[in-house]
Amino acid sequence: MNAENAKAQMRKGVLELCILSILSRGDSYTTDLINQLKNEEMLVVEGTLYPLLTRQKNAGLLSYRWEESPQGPPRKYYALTPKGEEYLKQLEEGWDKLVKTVNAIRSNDK
Amino acid sequence: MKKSIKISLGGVAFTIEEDAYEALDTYIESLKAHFGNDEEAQEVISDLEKRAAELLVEMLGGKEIVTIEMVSEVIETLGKPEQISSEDTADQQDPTATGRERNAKHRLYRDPQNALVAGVGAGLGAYFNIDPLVFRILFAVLTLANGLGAAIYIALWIVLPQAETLRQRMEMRGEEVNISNLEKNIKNEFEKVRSNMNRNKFAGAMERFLSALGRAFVSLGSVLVVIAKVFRAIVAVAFIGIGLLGIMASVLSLFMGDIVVALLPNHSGLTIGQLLATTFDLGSTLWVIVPVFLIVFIPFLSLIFLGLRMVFRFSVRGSVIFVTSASVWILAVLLLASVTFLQVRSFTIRESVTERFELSLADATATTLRLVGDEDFDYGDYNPEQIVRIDDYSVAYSGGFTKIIGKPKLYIAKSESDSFEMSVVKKSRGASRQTAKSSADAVKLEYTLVGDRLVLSPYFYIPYNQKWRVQEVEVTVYVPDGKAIYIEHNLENILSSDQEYCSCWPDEMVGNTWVMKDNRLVKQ
Repeated sequence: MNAENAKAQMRKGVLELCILSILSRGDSYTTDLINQLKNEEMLVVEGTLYPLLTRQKNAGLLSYRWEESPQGPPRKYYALTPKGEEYLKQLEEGWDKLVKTVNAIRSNDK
Repeated sequence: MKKSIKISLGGVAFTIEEDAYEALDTYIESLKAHFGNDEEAQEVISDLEKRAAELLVEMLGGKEIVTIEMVSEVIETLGKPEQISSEDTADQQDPTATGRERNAKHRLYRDPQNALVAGVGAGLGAYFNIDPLVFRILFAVLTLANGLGAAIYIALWIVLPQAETLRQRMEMRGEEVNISNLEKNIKNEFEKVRSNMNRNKFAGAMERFLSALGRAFVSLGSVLVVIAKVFRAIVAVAFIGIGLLGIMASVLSLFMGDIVVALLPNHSGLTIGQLLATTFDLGSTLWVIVPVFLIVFIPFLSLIFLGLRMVFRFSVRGSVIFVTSASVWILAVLLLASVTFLQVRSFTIRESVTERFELSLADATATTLRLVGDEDFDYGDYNPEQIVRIDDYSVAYSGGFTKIIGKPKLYIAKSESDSFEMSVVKKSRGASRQTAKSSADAVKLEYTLVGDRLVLSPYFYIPYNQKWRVQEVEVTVYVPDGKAIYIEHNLENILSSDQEYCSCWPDEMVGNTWVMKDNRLVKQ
């Protein structure tokens, strides 16, 4: 057993929730998303994010638009769709329930 | 100084060092192989490329050229395919999202990297894992036969996609696309990437042309290889043949048969062993024959071995065989050398035996002695077919017995007395005085005095139990002053040309009567 491994598995489960959560506060382009997730140590390698975003977009949870950037090529801005908001609510409920359960188990233990 | 090239990544132009380019290209190839080739994957990869470009722009700051360090940092930030997959949430939920399942496919592609024309042959070769030359020859033969080959080729050219990505190339070879396989292939293809590096259109065309030319030479090479194989087979058969003949000849002449067939002009049935036995006084001449045989046999055997090996290409411990046979051969040479060296001792001392006696003619008043060669000399029991001539000597052979025959030398000299005299000097060599003397004594020369005729054998011989020791015989007939000698024609052969009493040639002396006068022989 490896603690790092277990933590990675935990992050893996909630990464989707985090992405949607960030986007619910406002549209964001990928690099912003990455920076936020990295600051919170939710992301080890950036490559993980891209397939996830693309899948969420294809599932209709996200939409995106191109915006000119002050320097360099245009940037991809992601936004939450109504379907995405719905999906986020479900995930949030699930998450809250999970945290409660986990906390209850842990405090009972003590 | 490092070579750098211009690339476009995620819509941004970069100047990048060669090694950095290789690393980046390999990385992106590995991502493509990981994510697959569908629309979604293409989008992911394009996003990743954009992000990589963004990161590079950040790292460059004001600098111009992308280095390998920057690329490594980008790769670390974005993550290698295996890192991405370990954090990827969707693996189990949505199997079609990654191309993994489809990657187990074994698909037919055209192979542009190994193409001669359009890569159809190379692709077929890669698919079936056999030499593309097979398909190329098939196409060529079918084309020459009825044009069908060209038609099939063009049809396949149109139908088959070109294997461009690493993943497609792996599919073409039927390799499973997993991380470890990928890494192996990425390494393999690193070199190919290098060759594609700074290819512009012209250089690309040139390169393709040159590589096609190269491949044509390779095909020509295959033809030459076939010719070389045929030649090799011919040489091998020749080796085997020469070896077998050589061994047969040496066995026959040394042990069984008749050296004369091979070595000497007429036929006697004498073997080399028997011939050697006339000189070597070893208990068994095998001491000589066996080394001689080995000296001859081993090279011939080696030829056969070489020939067989060229034909059948069996693998043997060649060095062991070589060392063994070479040692045996050298031993044989040493044995023969030492036997010969020991034998030389038997020739060191020279001795002679002299007999001198009066020839009492039946008619005491006769003034002329007639010297006649023995016409009936019969070589003992031998007939002339059984005589082998070697230099001044002959070896007569019959019924397993040999007899060495030599020619005596005949001199005419002045007798100090009033009567005819004759001397026989027999010479021989030996290891000691005694053996030399006894060997000389054993030499036989036959002569008879009948009336006034001295019948002299034109040969002397060495009896069977005696060895050859350079035996020589000098016969001198002494003529008293005032008396004469007649010499028959059949003695010309043995008359010495070095006559003390007459400065004349043997052919002049025979058939004439000579008178001894004042220390000279005078023709009458």
